[in-house]
Amino acid sequence: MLEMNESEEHKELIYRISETLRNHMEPYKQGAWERFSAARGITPRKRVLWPYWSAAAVLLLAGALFWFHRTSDAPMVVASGGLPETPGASSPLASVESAASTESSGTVDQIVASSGVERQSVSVDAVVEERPMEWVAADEGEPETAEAPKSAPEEVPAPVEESFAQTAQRLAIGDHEGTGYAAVNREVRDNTERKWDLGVAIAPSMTREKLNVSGGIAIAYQLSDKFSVGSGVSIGRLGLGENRNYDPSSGNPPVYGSPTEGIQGLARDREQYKRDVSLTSNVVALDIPLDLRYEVFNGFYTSVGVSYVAVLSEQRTEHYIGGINEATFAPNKGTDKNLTASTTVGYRAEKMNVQPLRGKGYTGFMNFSVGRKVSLSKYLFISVEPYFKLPIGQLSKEQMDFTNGGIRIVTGF
Amino acid sequence: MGDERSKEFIYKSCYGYVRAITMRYLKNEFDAEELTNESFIRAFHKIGTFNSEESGDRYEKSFRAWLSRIAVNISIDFLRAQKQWVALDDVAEAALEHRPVPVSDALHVEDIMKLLMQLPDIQRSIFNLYEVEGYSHEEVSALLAIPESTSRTYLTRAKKKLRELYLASTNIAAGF
Repeated sequence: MLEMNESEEHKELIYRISETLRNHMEPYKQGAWERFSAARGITPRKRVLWPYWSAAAVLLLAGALFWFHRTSDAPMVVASGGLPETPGASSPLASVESAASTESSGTVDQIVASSGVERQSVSVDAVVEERPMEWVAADEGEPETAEAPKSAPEEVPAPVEESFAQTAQRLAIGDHEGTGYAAVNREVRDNTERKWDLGVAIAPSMTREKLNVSGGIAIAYQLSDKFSVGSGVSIGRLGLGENRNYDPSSGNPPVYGSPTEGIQGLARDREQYKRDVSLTSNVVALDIPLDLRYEVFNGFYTSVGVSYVAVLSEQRTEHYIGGINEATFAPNKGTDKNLTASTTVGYRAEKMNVQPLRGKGYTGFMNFSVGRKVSLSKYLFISVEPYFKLPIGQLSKEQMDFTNGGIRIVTGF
Repeated sequence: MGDERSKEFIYKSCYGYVRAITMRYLKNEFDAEELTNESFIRAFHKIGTFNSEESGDRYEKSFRAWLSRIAVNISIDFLRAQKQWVALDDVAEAALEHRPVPVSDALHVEDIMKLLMQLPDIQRSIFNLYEVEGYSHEEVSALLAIPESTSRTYLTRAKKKLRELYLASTNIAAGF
């Protein structure tokens, strides 16, 4: 090789190539981490899962209860305007009532001071907004996170020396709290992971009566890395049996006289027995759910929510005793004939012209489900979700039993 | 939760660095992406074995060096599994005398990659290992299971080929 001085060597092709390559970094590809974590699963295998499931169940239950009770709690707040005078009441009776109320209802106390609380809450919010990010991180329990970095760009994450060393050290020693970076990544996630999912759903389901299929579209909005809200619309035919908890007072059931005892009475009053045998119904229903979903880990999620149900059409079928016959080859036929043993009942089914549920809308179902979402490609995912729908409110008192469950398969893009 | 967020932070911080490494060894972009992710999987799995007395900026450099070793090993393993390394007779380096090629213009990574990808896999790998990553011939020899003399010869040939390709490309450009 020919001799070169140092400056010439630095201009030489091989040196320049090596230096350029050594200092080169590829740009971060949008969604790389999401694909990596979804496809590979980086959750440790030996993780104990039941605490997560329990926490998810409690959270979802609390959310559902809050949702249901929010409406009924509202009037109390409206009535709070007249209460502030009671603490200052001079009568003994008023003071006794006041003492009793402080023991039994904290809500009322809060409402009594509602105007003051509102002012306080505004000022607290203002303080929270002014707090630097270290404070937010410190709230999560680790004082050392006060030195967490204030920002981290998404496209090409600039190495933040302190943060990087702390993170890698934390991982290396198995300390998996990592709250210092929760503050950093919260910003990153907030900007990138709030997104809509749109999919097509098909859901085979079972009622007590038969197997049904429904289909529709599903839509979900990612609230945070763990929570999302799902909705959509689906239409399906449900084969329904009679509701064992049917409350006749809520409808207009037919009224019959007391049946006559014995086989003769059975024959004579068969019209009365028609509806007593059984009733089934095929209902075409529109279902619009609103679910809160919590991702437990690695694509597994659980959700709870409610559905609005509209019955588009109904076909009822009555199953009744159509006749009472004497078996031709019954034992003891003839002289010692045993009438009870030789008598058979003929069942018949008849479609009814009435559609009592048609056009009715209900709030409707309580939905419970668990499932797993798997990414098939960058733009396509599939989720398989066993679910259970429990009728609530007026729907649970109807003559037909709407309880059903099945597996919903959602293909999204 | 914290565990995963820490991994996410490291992944996003080091993704470009690791992908640049795998891209140097592999012609196929999808393979490079796959091996980038494989590197992170192995790194997260073995992160307990990483130990550094440094702090701050030095700690990060130390970590990146550790990560680059993983990425390089995975890339080499992949190439070795893809095809047999072609055996080479021991050729004296002196027989492959070359002239230095000075570069006055700016060199872009895209142009370098085009030149690099025209080298045979083993020559490109040895060039990367020795010239870019800073391995010794002894380390290259051990990693690729070839004699040290073969490593030297391939390196010489790779550099000669790169110079030829570069000059050819600049002559073509000058022709326009």
